[in-house]
Amino acid sequence: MAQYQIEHVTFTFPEQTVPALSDISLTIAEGEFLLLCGATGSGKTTFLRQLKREVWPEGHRSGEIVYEGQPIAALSPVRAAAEIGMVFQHPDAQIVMGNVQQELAFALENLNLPPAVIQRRMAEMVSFLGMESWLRQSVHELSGGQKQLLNLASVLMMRPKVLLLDEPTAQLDPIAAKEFVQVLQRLNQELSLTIIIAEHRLEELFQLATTVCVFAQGTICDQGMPREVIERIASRGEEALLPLLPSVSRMALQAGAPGAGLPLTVREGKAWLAALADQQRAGTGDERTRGPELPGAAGKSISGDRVGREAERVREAANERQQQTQDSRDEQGGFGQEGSVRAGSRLGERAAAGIGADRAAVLLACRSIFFQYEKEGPFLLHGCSFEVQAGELLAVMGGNGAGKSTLLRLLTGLLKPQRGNVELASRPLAKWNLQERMEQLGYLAQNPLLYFNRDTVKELLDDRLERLGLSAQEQKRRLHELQGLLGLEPLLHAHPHDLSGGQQQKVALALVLLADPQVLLLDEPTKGLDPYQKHRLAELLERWRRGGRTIVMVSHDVEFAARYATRCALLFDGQMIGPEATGDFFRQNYFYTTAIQRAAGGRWPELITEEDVGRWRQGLGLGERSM
Amino acid sequence: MEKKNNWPGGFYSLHPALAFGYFVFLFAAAMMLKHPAYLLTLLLVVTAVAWFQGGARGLIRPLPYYVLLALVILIANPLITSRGRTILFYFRDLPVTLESIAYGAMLAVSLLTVLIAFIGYNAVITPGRFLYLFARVAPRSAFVITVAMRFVPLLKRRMKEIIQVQQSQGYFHYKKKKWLQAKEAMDTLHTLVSWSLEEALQTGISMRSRGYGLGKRSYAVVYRMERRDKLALWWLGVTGVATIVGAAAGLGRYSVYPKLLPPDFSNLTVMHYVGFVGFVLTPVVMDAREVLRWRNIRSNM
Repeated sequence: MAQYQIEHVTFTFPEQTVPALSDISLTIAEGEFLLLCGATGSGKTTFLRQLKREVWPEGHRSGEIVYEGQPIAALSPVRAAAEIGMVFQHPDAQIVMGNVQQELAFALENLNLPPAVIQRRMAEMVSFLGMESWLRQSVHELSGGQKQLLNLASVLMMRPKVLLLDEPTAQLDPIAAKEFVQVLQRLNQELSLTIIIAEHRLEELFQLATTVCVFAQGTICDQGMPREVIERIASRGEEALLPLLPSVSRMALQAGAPGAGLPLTVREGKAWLAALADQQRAGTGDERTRGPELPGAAGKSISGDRVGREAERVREAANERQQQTQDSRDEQGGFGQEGSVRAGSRLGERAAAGIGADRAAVLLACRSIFFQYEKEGPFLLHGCSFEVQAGELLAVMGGNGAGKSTLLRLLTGLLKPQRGNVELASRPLAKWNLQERMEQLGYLAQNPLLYFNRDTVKELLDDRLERLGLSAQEQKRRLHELQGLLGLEPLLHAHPHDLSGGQQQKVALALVLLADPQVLLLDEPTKGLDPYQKHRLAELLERWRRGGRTIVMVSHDVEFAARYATRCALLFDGQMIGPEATGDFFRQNYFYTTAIQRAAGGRWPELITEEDVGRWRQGLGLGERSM
Repeated sequence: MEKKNNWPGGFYSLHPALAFGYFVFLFAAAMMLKHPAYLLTLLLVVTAVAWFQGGARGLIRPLPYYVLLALVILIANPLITSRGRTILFYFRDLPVTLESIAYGAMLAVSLLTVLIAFIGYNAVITPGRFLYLFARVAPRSAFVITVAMRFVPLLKRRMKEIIQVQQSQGYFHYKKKKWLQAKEAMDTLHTLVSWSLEEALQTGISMRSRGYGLGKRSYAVVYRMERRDKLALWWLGVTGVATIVGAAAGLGRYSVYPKLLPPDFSNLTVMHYVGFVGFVLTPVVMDAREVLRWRNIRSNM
């Protein structure tokens, strides 16, 4: 029996003329794993919320939503609450109670079930999800991944038949996200729970989903089995939808594969590349010289060979980013042409002078830092040392609770290390004038809401400028520049809380950049962004960095770091591994690397991002033959 | 949220209603029974209970303040009142009597007893247990209190985060006038409130989607009356009732005014006292047994 029958549903938000959803019809079968994808604002969340009466958004709705043969509006309240469970995006905001046990009991207490029933279900749930060790913990002691698992468990306690999930892994690190998705898979396969999930992080979900719906402008623009949908998107080559594909598929597309028979997973990608290598060997008819160990070593041993030379070119391509950085340092100045005024700043000069003498001038240095939050607590950082070079984008990665955010706050001087010190332009932070220091180091926290204490974006920006103590002319210039860079114009008169997550982050970034910091320190800037927004953020950072400015970001986002960082480092056990040039860094990693590197690394260690694959493919000149 | 108890198998594991009743009795006794023998016994007992339940640290940390408070009362009482017949000396024309000194001492011990008893009370009757006891009387208020209790540490942590970000944005830096700093602190609150409201909206949706507000709520936590609880109830009941009846009949009372007399040690009082000790010593015996048991287990290994 169909779980949901959705017929001609159109939904319009209040005071809007364009409907957020228009004429959507869909049948969802029992036990289905339905994946809703599409850009932010394409209507997938709005659609998801139509499926549960308690979370219906305000607005005008027409059409019919039938749940198990009954219009959803006619369901009894208890049935509507219990049988349709929903997990939301923010792990923290959904939690009501203080500790795990209370939170698990919460839903069943609402249904007025006797304690014995609650106890039994809790026992089952806790052992099913392996939550025994943190059952008695306070909620605030849990990691993000544990919190989200708790939210899921709390909903599952009601034994729902349908599970709706609204971007549940957007705020999680990749490992926690994977674990969460695996639990969904178990629920779907072992309990035949119907799962409907809206998500941006699709890599794993594409393999689990039975059906995929692609949303665009409030309609379902494509629908079908995951492989079919991917192949259709690929063969149509729609720019707007390509970022939704798994990176292995995109890699194959870049390498010139046709839409049909695209690899989806790392395993398929590896097989596909092997086939490509075979094909290439057959094409040139020289097996011995063009073995699987094609580029790296081959580049040296058979340097006269054409393929060897191409491999050399691949390596250069992969390192191109670093060279770009170095070139761009010459054009010291602002973002844009009008930045020359600021080039006169003290630090700018010093950094520029440093660069002139030595290409890798150290701008910010961490000298054997020891840090703990409490006297009895563990040392989060012990003996952590590394250097940040002027003009680079350094990505610091590391697991949950490795101390990445703490490190960033130490670098900004918001926390003080127990031992060791942080040096900005060879001068310890403590010796800087506080205000000057805070203007040189721009710190962007994870949560943009922390920055908002005025009622409009414009007031926020004005307040920030006032604090910087600049001349009226300079204030105007900076504001103008940033508006150009970030496209803030349409947001100026909005209330910051009314903006979308990506816009809020942009406003917070603007507040930070107004001080024109030499070093920008970003805490998980890609968290909760969809692939398009990530791309836009990267472009923006790149443009800002082009003036010789420096960015340090801590992130879980391996793919983002691999594509855009110039150097990467790994924070582990309170110490820093690296930093190394991005290419070298990922080449040496085995797990902690991009899906493409995992697929291609065995044969072609230079291939890390899809762009690398594209360049490599062009280099080989194979594109025409296989198409 | 809940701290770990040192001896979870002892008095702590008793049914919360019994433990609550015990402490109510203790507070009442400390305030009403002014007989020196009773008072000193109580002081020793509550110290032992606090020691077992709150740990040495929980007991010793606040102790200096409590003792100071008791000392203030001890000294202040004779200076304030001049009741009593036995005048010892004059302090600035004020007669200082033996009775007022004795009364002050009793008051000081009584206060110290109540304060120390609270250490044990807080360790045994945790917020969760208190709510359990009152959830049946007022389920809604109990729920609201539980939720609200989570917010105190939560808001504190958020405040810290906001202040850090504000520092990086140029707040709280310069030694400005006080009112400017106050204004910036208001901005902190502005951010805190709007952020928290934003989250509260989402929390509200999540609560509704899990059936909150559908009607009567149940309460998941149950403490069952075990055999041991029933035995303890029987014992505490018998000794407690005996003590109350005796106290109502005037046993264990002691008055220093108008003239200090030696306290009453009649046979009846001694019997009453034994019953009283039997009552108050219950948790100490339970915990001491627990300590011994673990010592035995360890020495047998």
